[in-house]
Amino acid sequence: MTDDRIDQRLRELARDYHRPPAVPREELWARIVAERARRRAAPRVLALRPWLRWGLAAAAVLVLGIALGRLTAPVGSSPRRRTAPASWPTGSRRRST
Amino acid sequence: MDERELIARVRAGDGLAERALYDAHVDRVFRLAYRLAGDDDLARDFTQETFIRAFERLDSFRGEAALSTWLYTIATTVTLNGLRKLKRRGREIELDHAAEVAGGARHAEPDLKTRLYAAIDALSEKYRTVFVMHDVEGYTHEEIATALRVEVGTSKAQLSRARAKLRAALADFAGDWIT
Repeated sequence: MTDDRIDQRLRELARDYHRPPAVPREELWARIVAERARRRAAPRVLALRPWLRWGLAAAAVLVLGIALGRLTAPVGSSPRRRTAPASWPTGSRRRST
Repeated sequence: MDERELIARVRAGDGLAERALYDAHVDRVFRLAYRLAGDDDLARDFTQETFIRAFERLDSFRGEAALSTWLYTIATTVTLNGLRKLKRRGREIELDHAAEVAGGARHAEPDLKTRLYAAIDALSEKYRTVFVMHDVEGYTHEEIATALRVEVGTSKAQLSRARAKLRAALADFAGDWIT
């Protein structure tokens, strides 16, 4: 028996796979109408997708970490910038030109 | 009333037009949801959600595909996402009713059909979806490709692989195929 004939037989046999009952049209329509009315009346809630939830959680942890790091860093531990002493001759470049 | 007029009237908030749109498509949406879910309650939930979303989002329908194809895309998304969510939660789906409905037809070739249904259930989601949509519910590869957001060639290839897997799963029934 060729694959085509087997596939045809498979299709015939598969017609009963999860064979649906009669469609409950009226009941479904009533449910749809009721649910739409319920959603219109209910206050809108921001529904976060799972990836967005995880992203927000990661961002919150990062911000918290940075904030804690800044708050707990010892005062004066940051490298000092070298600043020019006030006694440097400011007009020296002008004189050399 | 043609489709464009129907859509325009639904967009304008015409309740009768909403009902007409629902009547025109509910059978195929429910059948698809039921075939994929294998459970009456789930099929009802998925059909309900499909039409609620469709009415909410009809403004975004640009008419590039047929309205039916757009609806099947929503139905497939709602159903597959719903089933994935259930799978993640590990909830046992009660299939008594489905077994009861299909049971009457199993008398002819009980072993072969039982094995076939188990083999279909064992297919991966993408193969099972394409097989059910094409070979069981009669969707075209173009409709399947749009609904699943894949190329037509991908749909054909997945159907071919699904059939090959089913043939392999039922290889020991080879002698019974012609009966």
